[in-house]
Amino acid sequence: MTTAVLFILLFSFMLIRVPIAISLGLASVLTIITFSDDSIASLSEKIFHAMYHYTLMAIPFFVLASAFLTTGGVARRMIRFAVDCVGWLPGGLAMASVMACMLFAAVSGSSPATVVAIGSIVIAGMVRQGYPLNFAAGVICNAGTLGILIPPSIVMVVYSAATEVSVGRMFMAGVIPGLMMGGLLMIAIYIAARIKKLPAQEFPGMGQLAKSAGTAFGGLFLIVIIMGGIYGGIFTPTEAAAVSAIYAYLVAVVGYRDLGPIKGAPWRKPDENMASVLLRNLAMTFWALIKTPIDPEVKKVLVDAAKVSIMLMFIIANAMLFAHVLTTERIPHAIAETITSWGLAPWTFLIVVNIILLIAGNFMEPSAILLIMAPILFPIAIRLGIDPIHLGIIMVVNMEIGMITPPVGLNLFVTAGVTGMELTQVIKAALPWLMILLGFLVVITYVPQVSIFLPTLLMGPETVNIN
Amino acid sequence: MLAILLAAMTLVTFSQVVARYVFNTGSPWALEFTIFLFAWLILLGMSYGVRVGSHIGVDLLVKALSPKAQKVVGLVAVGLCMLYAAILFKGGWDTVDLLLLIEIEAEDVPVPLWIPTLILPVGFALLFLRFVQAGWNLISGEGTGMKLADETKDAIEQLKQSDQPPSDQPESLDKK
Repeated sequence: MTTAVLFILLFSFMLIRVPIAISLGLASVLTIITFSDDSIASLSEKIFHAMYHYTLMAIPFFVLASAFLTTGGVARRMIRFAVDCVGWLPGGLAMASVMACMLFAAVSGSSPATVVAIGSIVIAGMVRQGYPLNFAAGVICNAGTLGILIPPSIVMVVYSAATEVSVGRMFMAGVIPGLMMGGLLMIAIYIAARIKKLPAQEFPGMGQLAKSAGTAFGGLFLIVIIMGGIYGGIFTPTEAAAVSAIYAYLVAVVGYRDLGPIKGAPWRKPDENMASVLLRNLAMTFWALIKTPIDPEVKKVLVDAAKVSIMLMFIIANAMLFAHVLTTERIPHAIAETITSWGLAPWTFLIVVNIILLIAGNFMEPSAILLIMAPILFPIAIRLGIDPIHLGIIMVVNMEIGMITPPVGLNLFVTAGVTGMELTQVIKAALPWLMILLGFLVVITYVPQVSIFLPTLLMGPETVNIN
Repeated sequence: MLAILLAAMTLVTFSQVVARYVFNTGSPWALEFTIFLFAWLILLGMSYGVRVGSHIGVDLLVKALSPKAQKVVGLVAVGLCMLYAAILFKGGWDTVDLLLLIEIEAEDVPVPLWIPTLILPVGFALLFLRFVQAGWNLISGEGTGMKLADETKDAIEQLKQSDQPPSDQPESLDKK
């Protein structure tokens, strides 16, 4: 009864265009006021306490880092590097786009951000080179979903906060599946390119490759900082996120000089001698750091990042309230009992999980789904002997698919926006690649080794405390 | 204000790492302090989000209605949002009230706990006011619903901005 009311309220609020966060919050608040005797004060406190999840604090930092990288022209340099790497193969530009998406995914935590950063540049490039627009849009739309599978990933941070699995482990677990999926997409492109006779570029030569690798290095080094820092035990994932935000700022403002006080200043003027270069750059760096607090461009990046973080965290805080109502009503427990009583084998349970998540993924924001579904699915999975990390990766891949299936596929909308195509056209364009993703989901679901091999190798087997 | 809060959070966390490795110390209250900053950022920011329309919603059904019906539904939605803000404002008020009564201190930061918690009633009061404003705009004839985020539009706008410096565009994309 209570459950029914809770969900009916949630869906009717959402349908009449109440913001998702408030739909979640109001549905839970009204349910609690009607059916239980918790005080209202305890509800407000719950919202406040959502911020006590130190893990979640990684979200605003990662958002900030990726905001600096996007406006800071790092994406552009990564694309150039990727094109020099694989552009000479048949279908090379498309493969380079996938690779650029993978690289960008490895420094940013979100999927739409990846589509915007990479797609806005490469789709036009592919069309100029004679690729069909459908092909280009479909590739980018799908490759962009790698943003949440390749670490760092905001969705993984949320899963960890909901289930208290280690974030570091989740990140590590995403590496092999992420590389696999990128590889799969590239192979598919290669085959398609051979059949359709898509253009290739000439090999730019090792010199050019080394040069573009050099310019992209500033951005790529961030991967080393994040992964190395976390696994070397130097800092926690949240601290890693803060460090990468600071690093991204330095790269964008002092290194590449694409925004901020010394925007566009050259590292070396023509005919300048080394000593003067050194002095001038030192002085300029110093000047840039001092002037940063009053710089309008830096401020704009900060405000944009704050806006996105607030939107996400407001949803997450309310979703936690919602999950809290579910738990106090013992709903996860009841569902767990029911499902266990069906006597499902782990593999049939995983089919059920996939179906539920695929459906949910079509209607809701990924982090909200994870916070609501994880407390329900997690205990059952543990009882059935499914590795929690494995379950996490399954959930993330499902969320990826949710982003490219209508009606609420975020990547579809973004791709439509970037290319100016009709939404229905984008859906059609994404369809063949979606099939690859679904096939990939089957592999991920039934070969747990893909996800848990690397974290187990590096960090020992996972231990779980069932509460 | 939001920019300052976010920058402060980042800098405090970063300085903790530096402090630990370079100076081999660390401040015990930094962690709790960033948590409070985080809470302030979100709870102050949510009303700002209403003003600039950055919260996301589902407009699939509403889009299919006539403009007049859209307006009515929009008003109902705003009303529900006001209800939400009002309830949680009351809750926040009670929380602060209770904390004032029992006078406990925050765990590490040397301030009474009611000070950081003050943001609860303040934040939700601001949120309420923003919704009143949104409702008023609706009644006085502006638009047919609350301003919500349109990811597509955002993406295109961002595109326009980032497209400007063609000097640094990947030349290799164009050469055959």
